Amino acid sequence: MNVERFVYSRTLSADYRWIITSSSLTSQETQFMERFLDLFKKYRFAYTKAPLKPLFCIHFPKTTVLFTLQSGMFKDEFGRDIYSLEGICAGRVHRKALWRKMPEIIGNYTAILNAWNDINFQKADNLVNKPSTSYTLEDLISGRETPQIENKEILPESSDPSDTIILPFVEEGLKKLKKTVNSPSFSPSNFAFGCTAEMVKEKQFRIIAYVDDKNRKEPQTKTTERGRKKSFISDTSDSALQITVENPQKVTEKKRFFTDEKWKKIVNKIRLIFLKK
Amino acid sequence: MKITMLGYSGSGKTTLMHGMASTLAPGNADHDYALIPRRKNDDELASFNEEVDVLVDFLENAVEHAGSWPLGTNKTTIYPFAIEYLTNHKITNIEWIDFRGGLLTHIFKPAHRDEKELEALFFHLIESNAVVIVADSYHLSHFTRMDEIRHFSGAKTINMIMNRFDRVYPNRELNVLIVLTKADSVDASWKEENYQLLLDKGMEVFDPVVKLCRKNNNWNGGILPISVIGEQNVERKIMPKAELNSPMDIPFLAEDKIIGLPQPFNTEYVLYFCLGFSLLQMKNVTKESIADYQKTIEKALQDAGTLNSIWSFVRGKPSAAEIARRSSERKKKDEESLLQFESHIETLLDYTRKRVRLFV
Ligand SMILES: Nc1nc2c(ncn2[C@@H]2O[C@H](COP(=O)(O)OP(=O)(O)OP(=O)(O)O)[C@@H](O)[C@H]2O)c(=O)[nH]1
Ligand SMILES: [Mg+2]
Repeated sequence: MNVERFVYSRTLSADYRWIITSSSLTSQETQFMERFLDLFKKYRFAYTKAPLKPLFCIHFPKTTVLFTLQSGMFKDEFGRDIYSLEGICAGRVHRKALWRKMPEIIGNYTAILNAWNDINFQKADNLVNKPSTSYTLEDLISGRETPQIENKEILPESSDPSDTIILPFVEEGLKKLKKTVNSPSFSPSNFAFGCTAEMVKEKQFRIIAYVDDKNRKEPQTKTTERGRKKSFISDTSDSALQITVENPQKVTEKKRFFTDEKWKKIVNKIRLIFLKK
Repeated sequence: MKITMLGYSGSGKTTLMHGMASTLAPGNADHDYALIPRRKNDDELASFNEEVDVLVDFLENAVEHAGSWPLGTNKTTIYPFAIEYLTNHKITNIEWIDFRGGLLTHIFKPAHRDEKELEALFFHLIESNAVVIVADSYHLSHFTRMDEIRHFSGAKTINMIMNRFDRVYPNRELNVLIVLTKADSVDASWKEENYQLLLDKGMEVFDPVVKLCRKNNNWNGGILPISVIGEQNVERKIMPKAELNSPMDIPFLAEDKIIGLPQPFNTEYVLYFCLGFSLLQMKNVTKESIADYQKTIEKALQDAGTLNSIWSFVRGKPSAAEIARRSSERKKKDEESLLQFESHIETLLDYTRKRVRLFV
């Protein structure tokens, strides 16, 4: 399976731009991703306190993108921290295959998605919209530490497919994310691991982990309306899902509630099966 | 009202805007005028919560609150503000336009250049009451040859843009303020007698703009040194670049470590100049009828030949006539509301003359 890399960032003397890009991405899609970097900048104080880097998986009509956001790796010539959006994308035909590899990617996403490994920062001022080379996913994954074999235990997922799965944005949540995507019954979905409520308004996500931005208020303008508004990029696999706009304050509450509820449902199901027999 | 900042990446545009807004934050006993960040550029009254929210959101990025410099601007951003006088007398709304500096820095590099952004620049200029040209004082004092200064400070590009703008849109009213940022970073000799040497150099560097201001009766121009951090609050380190990709790039890295509470210097005069002269123009310039204004804009847009892409893209309105109509409506509204504040003109210009060297 072939994947391509992309990086949106700046270098020493040259301003923000797509340094490396994939021809399979439309300008709407790249603009859409830039919005996530804008929000990452806006909530940078929350992100610097977070233990992990965010990870997003978004299915566009023709491609699937996986990307992370980061800052502080480099400084520009004025001493300002450089922000970057880095990731990989694969064509629609590879969607399932990419999803099968997802646990492995999640196990090592910061290394796999880091495009700076292939770029000499000091000499990158002239790179603009450079078409990505094609990599096999195995190339990117191999040589990295091999992930532990996952047991396919029951997912922390509710039986109702319209439910959004909320995970904590910590190591434990990352493990759960790995397990969830590893489930054979779980179809390729959008996830936002390490996001803000404002990001959730941009797209439907099946799995969400909020960065702790409690001390930041969301703009109060018509939350529900904006939340419902469909993004211009049409959803594919998850189009039936509802957006659940979570209030970050309620996340902890919701998490507990969710697990209890899940178990109740499973127990009820088992009971039903026995009753039928 | 609309104000556009023009300057190379790193010249200090975003820092200036934050410095000015925090100096003129509402409730500051030292100043009669206040600059208040808003969510949108409209007259709708915000609730108390919303007002405070927007203010906090904005000011947390100001140097003294963030404890660090603002981030590099990766997208041209329009900041709406309201200007108030003393006890909540709102004077007007303004839109402050912070261009991504890279737009100018890389204007001659086709691969980096974004045509749509360039067109947007032109439209913002057309609608602006004032243009704030931003250049780094350190560049003016560091390089010795005039061509080097003009090249590295962005003056060469800015002189060219202002020259072309004057040609495409002759006889329009405009106020141009050249702001020399980071005035703290130059040697003491440049600061003597109210930055005399620095201002002389600035006028020489931007000579074509100075000449345009003097030639056009409808243009007012001036030059002002500012610093957002103030004296002795920063440790400046200049290092040569490890690898210089091209001798056309700035050969050093600059890092300004903040070591003291910022004491912004002169930032508020940027607003006084822009507001004072815009009011004066609205009062003095022989009133073109709104219909004439509409025609002029329409023609300027057509001459620029950029209509169909950016404007239809940004506003969904493809016709020059429609844009001209909207623009003139806004202008009319602005004029009506601003003229109530005619009495401020003298105060604002008095303030301005204290620190801004005017081109007369
Ligand atoms: N010493 C000193 N340094 C300053 C001052 N203002 C800005 N700087 C330095 O200049 C750098 C760039 O300032 P910005 O305001 O980000 O520049 P900009 O024009 O907005 O740049 P772009 O966003 O790339 O277009 C800052 O990170 C500071 O290091 C000042 O008043 N004094
Ligand atoms: Mg900026």
